[in-house]
Amino acid sequence: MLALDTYHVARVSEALAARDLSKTYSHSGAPVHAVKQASFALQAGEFVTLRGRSGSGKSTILNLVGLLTQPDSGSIFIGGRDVSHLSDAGAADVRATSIGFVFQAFNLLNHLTALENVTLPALAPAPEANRRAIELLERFGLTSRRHHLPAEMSGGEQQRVAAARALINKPIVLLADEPTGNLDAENETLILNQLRAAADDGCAVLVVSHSTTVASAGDRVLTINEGRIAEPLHRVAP
Amino acid sequence: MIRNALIAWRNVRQYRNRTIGLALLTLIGCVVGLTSAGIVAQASSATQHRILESVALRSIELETASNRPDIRPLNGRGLSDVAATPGVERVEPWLQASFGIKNQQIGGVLLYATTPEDSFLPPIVRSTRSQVFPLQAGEVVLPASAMATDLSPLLGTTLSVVYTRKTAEGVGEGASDNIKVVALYDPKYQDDGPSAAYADPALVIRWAAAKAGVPENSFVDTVGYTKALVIVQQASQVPQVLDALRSRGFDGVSLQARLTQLPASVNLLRTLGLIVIGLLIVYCFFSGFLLSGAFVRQRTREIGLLKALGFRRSRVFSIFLLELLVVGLSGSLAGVIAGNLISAGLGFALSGSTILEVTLPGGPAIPDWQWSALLLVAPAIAVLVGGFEPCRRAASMQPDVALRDW
Repeated sequence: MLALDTYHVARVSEALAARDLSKTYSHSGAPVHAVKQASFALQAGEFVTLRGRSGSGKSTILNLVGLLTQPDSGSIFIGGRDVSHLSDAGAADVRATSIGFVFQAFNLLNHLTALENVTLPALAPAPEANRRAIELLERFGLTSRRHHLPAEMSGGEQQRVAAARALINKPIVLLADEPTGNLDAENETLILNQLRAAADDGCAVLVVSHSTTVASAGDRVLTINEGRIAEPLHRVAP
Repeated sequence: MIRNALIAWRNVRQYRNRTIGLALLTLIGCVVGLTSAGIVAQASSATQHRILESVALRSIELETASNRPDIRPLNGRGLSDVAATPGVERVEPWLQASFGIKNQQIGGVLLYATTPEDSFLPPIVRSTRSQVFPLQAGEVVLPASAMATDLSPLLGTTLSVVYTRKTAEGVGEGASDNIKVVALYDPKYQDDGPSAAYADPALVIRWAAAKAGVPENSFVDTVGYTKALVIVQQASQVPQVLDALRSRGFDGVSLQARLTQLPASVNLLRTLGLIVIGLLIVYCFFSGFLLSGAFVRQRTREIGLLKALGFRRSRVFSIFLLELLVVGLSGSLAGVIAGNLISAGLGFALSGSTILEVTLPGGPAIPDWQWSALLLVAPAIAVLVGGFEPCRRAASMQPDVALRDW
């Protein structure tokens, strides 16, 4: 683990940094220590895979750094800004401007078309948001499907729409939970290529996955075990 | 805001199967409320028209009193003065004289021959001709029953009746006359007393003169009538005409008591309409509460997703409220349109019908615009108020809780 002063120096260039994060839930009255003093950092343009056994705290880490829940202790930095203890509205604004989410179950709104799903969280005025959404759908090979509803698309197509939605506001950090868990090999490759492209565009990508394919596509692997993260000092060899 | 409204609209369309019930029942409630409001408006209008045009509202009843020498008699000169009073349209004198019928069919009965007043004629139940009034010489209209005696067998007959002729002070003798019974009226009508028989005025004057002991041809100029109904040209002139008549020595009262009877039935209709609208608003409140509560339970994941995507609590809240507003407003708007159309149609259909003593005129029954405005806004507000707390709770959900397994 790095020394604290090193973090402060490094923080300026870090897209995402977690410092001594801890989170404890209460389950049937008994405390469950989901995350224990977890510290890690992602540089802009990095593609990092977070691995661990079920119940090891992976989802809690994503919830914490995605500002979906607040840590009991520790700090979270996004783009060098401490976002650990923002108000509900402040956290929502950071999620809107700086964080993109890709869910395992796609989580598209079934009554919106692909284009509408992508523009749903857009912050830009409608014409610009539409233009960017069309660009993203084109990049994801979904130009012909943009007016289709989720039910009319395959799982791979839906996940690509979800990935496009996550990128609509050009986030600093992209968080993905098992994004290829429900996909076949072909679609897994397509999604990984897009995550890689997002990282190449300067986005810090943190992916939770059991898949070795995903892990090998990333720059580094973080391993979490019983709420603690062991961060390798070196990049994973391509 | 426009984006929120678009999302809300798409959501309403998506969940229309769950919201159609609320919208439909709001529509039905609005239709019922507006229809009753329309009928109330028409009945009210009819009543107002009837009252304003009513002879009763324009009437003053003058009366003589034998123990009040300061009050002028309603004789020929007096009636001329009354008729000459500014604002008076016409004068209908009134007189009663008792007479008896003794008949094998019905036995004996005492009745009061009464001069019919054109403005207040009795309701005829049976007659020998279609147009009963004015009565011809010797003709009489009897009550269908009097003093527990059925007088209907006398209809169409000519019979002998007895009356009193004064021969000296405090002394009299019986005299007889012939009458022809041309009609029977509803005995429940008792404006002129329970045993009034409407008779040819000349007959009444003859019997009254006999009882007073004066010649028949001088009775009107000397003794005169007991009462007189003064019909004023406009209802608003009644107070001034009454004052003028009193200043000329006559004693009278206006007949505005009838005013208080007809609006009571209209008020009952209005109250019924208000009850329907009140129930509708209560229903909308609870529907909004239950509907949005159900939405929260069914759309937890969607709420979590929106919040994860950066939607603020206030934005999620406003989207949910907008959905309820769209549902409530679409129901009430359709209801207001349908209610006005149905109410208008019902006005034609019920033309001439009597509802709570008010006879509806022909033409569309258009509710007052305030009712339409109330029914357009109130159900939607009730839905919003009812759904406020569930929507607030939904918007306040922690995104990680809502997205438990993302």
